[in-house]
Amino acid sequence: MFFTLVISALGIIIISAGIGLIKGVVNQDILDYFPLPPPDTVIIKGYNLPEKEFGEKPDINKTEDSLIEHYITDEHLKIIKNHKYYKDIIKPVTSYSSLVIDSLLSWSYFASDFCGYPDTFIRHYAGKNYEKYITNANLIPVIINENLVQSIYYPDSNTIEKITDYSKFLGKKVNIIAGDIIKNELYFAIYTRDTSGFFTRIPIDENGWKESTKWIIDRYRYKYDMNILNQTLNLKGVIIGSIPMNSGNIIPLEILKKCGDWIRTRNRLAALNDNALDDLYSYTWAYNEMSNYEVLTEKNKALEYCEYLKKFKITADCREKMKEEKFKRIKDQLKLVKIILYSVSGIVLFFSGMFIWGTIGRVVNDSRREIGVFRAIGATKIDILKIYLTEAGILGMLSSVLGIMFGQLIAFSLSKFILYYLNKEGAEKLPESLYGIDYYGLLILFFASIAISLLAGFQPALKASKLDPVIALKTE
Amino acid sequence: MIEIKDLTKIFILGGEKIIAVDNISLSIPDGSFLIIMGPSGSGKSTLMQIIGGLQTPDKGRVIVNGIDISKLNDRELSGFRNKNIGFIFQNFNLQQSYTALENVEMPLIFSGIPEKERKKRAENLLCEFGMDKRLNHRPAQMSGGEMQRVAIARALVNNSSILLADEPTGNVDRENSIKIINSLREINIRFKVTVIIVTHDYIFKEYADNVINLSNGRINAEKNLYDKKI
Repeated sequence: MFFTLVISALGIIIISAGIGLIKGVVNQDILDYFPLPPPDTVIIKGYNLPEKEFGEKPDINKTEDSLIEHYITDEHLKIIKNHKYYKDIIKPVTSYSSLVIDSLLSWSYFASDFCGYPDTFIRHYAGKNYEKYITNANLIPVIINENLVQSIYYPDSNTIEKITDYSKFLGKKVNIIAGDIIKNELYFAIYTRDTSGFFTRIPIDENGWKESTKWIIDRYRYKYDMNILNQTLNLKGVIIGSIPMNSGNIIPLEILKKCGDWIRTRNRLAALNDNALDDLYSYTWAYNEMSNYEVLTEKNKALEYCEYLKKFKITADCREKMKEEKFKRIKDQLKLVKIILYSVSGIVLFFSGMFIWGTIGRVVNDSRREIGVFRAIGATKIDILKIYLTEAGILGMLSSVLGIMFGQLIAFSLSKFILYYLNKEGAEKLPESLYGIDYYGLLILFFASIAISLLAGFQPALKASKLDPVIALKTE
Repeated sequence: MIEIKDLTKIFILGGEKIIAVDNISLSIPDGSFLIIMGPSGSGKSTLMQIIGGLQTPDKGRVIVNGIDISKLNDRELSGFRNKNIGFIFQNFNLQQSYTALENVEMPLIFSGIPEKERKKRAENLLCEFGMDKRLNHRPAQMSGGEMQRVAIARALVNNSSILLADEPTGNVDRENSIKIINSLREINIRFKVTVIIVTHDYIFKEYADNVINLSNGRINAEKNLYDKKI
């Protein structure tokens, strides 16, 4: 009897916990915690940066395939896919356009320099410190419109200050996209109209800056045969938002679809071929005009804007539009989870019923003499039926109550544990709980459990009631 | 008063027709102390079970306290047993998980007596049997004599007028058998109930008002002391 109670209660615990967690998740404004809907398909044919900071100058006479082979390895893809932010940042991007990510990654070394995709930058430049760096970086996916997503990298106040200082030092025309400080080095990306842009690092001191600036220019010249020595660089300010620098990253899906492989090839070759570069710029600048960007020349305003954007994660204008689609997708998934839960519940309740049936049957069998005595002292068949049905009902009720209580407790604890884990993993905004009390569901579960117990107990109870008292009394 | 007229009970066992009770007629006055004896298979237990409403006859009538129980359906028979008959089984058949009080209460539960009243009645009766300190003890905590008293109290608690005992001394020694007989005789006199005992034990003969001997489902007239006393 106790074993049956435990088994039945265990079944109810599973169902109850499932109900608690599903209710908890449904109760949340899921959009707040999952800024982007899960992708339909993730197609990453893309490529990543070479492991070496500076590879050899590619041979532009080689075929496209050999270039890909030169710059991109499966290992790079593996690193990206295994990255803990892959799901949150890279993967959602692909949901909007696998072509975007394809294009983005296929740009290879040069393109990634200016494409403004911070994760790519940082992974490449931060080297061994990458994990630490990425953890502290303020990478935030921003939806530009329904087809475009990009990540934005927010510098902290200290970084902004250093960038500003460096820009002043340069005294030239330059747009600094973003930056951060790792140890005593300033990592940052800059953009100039003529040179596109690049991301690099310099020591935080005046001498370092001088050296680094020279080095940057030299490097750029060497690498891509571009002459920026005579460029006038002038600091405009820290650029926040969907900046033009990122236009390479946010080529609209429709355009990419139209251009297909051609544009991707062009993009990749743009770094290596002067003619191709013009094409690349044309696409880049074409969408600069569409980009909703803001140049903040004042440090305080830049900081304020950083904080402001951090709160929202995604732009307000597309939030509502996305909401319906996201909810539909998530609800579909929850519906599936519910169907699975109900199916499991059905199976669990069935087996629970079988256990109760077996138990009551055994009890009846063991109590034949007792039944005989009851009948002899005046119990009617209905009385006997009632006795064993009550027993089955109590068994069902007890297992139901215990199961629901422990199930809810487990759901509550699991919710806390999951949130604790997510919090530990660095998730910023989390719900207070993933647990909810579904009174309606629990009530159904409670009565369903009792009903099944009664149903299961009916056959043995009926058998008990039909026992011939004389034969029952003769039972040893 | 129990009147049995032309009572016949037939069993079919393995395709074989067995006449357990064969055309028996008998009258048992109220307050009798009747012993039914006979070898195994003589039909004594069947006869007692029919009198107690546990079995229905195939033929004949059994009129107990003016009720023809051979015409009652199962539910009516249950009510009849509850209100008129008290059974005392071999080994007493007390519910091991119940206390003495709960065991005695049981027939009253099936009578639909309110809890308060049934507790009071059961308690009073147990006290009459000197079990006032054993009310909340379970059978395992009692001696054989105490269990017997609880069993008798359970049989009498609903003011039953007939007490049926099937082999009450089946598994006890002579000394204890005498104690049991004395108890039943005392109950018979004190509560003025009809006591019918089915037994193999010849010791009962000395205490009985009447003894009937059954053989092959029939009353052995030569040894029917009951007839002589009437």
